[in-house]
Amino acid sequence: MWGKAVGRLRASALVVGFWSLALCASAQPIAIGSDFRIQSEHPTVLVMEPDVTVTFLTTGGPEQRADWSQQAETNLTSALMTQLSGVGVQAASYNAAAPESIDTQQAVLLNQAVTNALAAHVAFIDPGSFMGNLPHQKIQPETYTLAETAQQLSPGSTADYAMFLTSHARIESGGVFWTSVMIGAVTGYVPVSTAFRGTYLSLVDMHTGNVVWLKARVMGDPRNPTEAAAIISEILRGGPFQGSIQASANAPQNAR
Amino acid sequence: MAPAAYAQARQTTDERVATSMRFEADDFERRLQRSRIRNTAPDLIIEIQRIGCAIAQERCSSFRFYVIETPEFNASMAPNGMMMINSGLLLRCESEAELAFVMAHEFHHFVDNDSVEMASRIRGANAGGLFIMIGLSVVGAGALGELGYLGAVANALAFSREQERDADMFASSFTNEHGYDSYAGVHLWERLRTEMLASSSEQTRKRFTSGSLFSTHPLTEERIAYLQAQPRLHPEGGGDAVRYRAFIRPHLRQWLEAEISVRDAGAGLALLERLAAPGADMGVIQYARGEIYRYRNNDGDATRALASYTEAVEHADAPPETWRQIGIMQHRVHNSAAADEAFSRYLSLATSAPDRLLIASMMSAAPPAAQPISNAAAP
Repeated sequence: MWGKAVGRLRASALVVGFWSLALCASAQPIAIGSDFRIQSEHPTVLVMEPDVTVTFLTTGGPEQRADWSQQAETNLTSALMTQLSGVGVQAASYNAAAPESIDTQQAVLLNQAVTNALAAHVAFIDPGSFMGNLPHQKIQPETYTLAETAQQLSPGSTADYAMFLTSHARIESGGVFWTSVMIGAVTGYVPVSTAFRGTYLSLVDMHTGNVVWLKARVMGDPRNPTEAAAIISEILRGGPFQGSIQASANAPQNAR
Repeated sequence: MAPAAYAQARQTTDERVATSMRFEADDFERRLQRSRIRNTAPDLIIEIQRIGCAIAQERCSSFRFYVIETPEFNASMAPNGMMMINSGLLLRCESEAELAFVMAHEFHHFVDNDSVEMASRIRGANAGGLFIMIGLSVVGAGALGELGYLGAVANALAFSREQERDADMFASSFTNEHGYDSYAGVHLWERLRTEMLASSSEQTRKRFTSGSLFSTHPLTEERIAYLQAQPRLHPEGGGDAVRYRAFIRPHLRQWLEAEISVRDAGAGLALLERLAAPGADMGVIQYARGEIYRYRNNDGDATRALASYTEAVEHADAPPETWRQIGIMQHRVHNSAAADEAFSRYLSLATSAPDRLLIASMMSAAPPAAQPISNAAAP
């Protein structure tokens, strides 16, 4: 009974599925809004509650490892905050311990739905246009949006942007590997591995609700602090904060 | 992510799986606490907590009770002490004894660590089945591999049925020991059987009459039989149906709306017939009955729907929308006078309904002056 309820209500499984397909479909990092640059000197960014899971795939079935998931979340969040600070971003962590309103949760879910739609489009509709616009956006660009609902992400916050960190890893056990080898030896067919590691960051403009930037990276083990830092570094490289670095170096008077 | 710390590195496989399940349950519960799917009405929660604490006794503080707004007849217990009771189950209980029976059943699942044990069995079945398939392939009997795998899974699900039976027996004992009617479960399953056998869905009817190797629960017939074989010490205990109806009355309309959304006319009408038996809440019940006839739309259902709506408005608890439905039905048969009258009643009762302008446009006469339409646009 309990498993059935979880299965029905846990929307995060959809996120994993969509992004697995989207990321596996590409040989290069997915980036949306890759030419987007924040021009203010010290942009304020609210880092939302991360969505990080590490699933252990054994011959008995998948198991969401608690310790691995927590370690991965700690590593990725720590790396993200450090690196944002390093490029002059005033980053604040979302207070997960504070009571969250239903409206805020709905806004977070809306963000998941919008980014899932992006992934679905990239994976199924137009795999060649990771950096391009959706068909309707050729007429009206930048319509990946949460619209006014974005203000519910953190009511009262003065942050310019909300950043979402999503990471899902599926790690196979040795038993699964050797079982695959045995199946291959006996049948001549090696089952396709369902192991996967993918992380993405997305940025929502809190004033307009637009999803202005999104970039993903496949591979890397977020359980390892060094690899987690490398994942974040790779995703942020050439990203939206290059503009703020430039602004900081050049002129203090630039306004966002 | 859940706030608790989890250390799994030195745990055995079963311990590790149990920790992972609690972790997932904690995470799920944290999201549930901020979800619109919960019914947080204090009257509901306090009463459920009272019954739950009577069952759990000194372990009461280890449990959290949630009412989930969904028409499905179900309740569940997570390995972290989170009990979820669906509104569809509350709607189908007729007494505190029946609700206590279900909660005791779920409590036993927790005490016996059933969900974790079941997960362990399923994992064993998955791994075992896989190796049976490989083994049979090695000896050239690969075609039988699938059968071996299904056999392993069926074996695990037989264990699930055993768990359910044990939980039923515990609930029967608990009700006897605490002054409740131990036949509460029998009554509940009998009514559910009646409702499901009336279902418009052949699949639903089959599910209640024929089990399989892959059923997670015993057949309803079997459950009734073994519960009836147990002692019954307090036939009247906790069986106050009037009190229970008063308990769910504030939510009755919302839960019936959810039932209507399931679009199972047969089961829905059977449920309403049972709810109508005491003769209370007839405005809400007849409105729901009219709605079911309206969407079923068989020959004669329009007449039945109108008759149900018409009977509903004779009772003070009829929803204002009943008048709107009467108006629409009269409007369709060009009975303008009757339609206008019904629409007027609707507009005078539903002063903030979002469809006021639309309804007013369907009237042949001007809407009531006391309720200017310009004020009606408010959401």
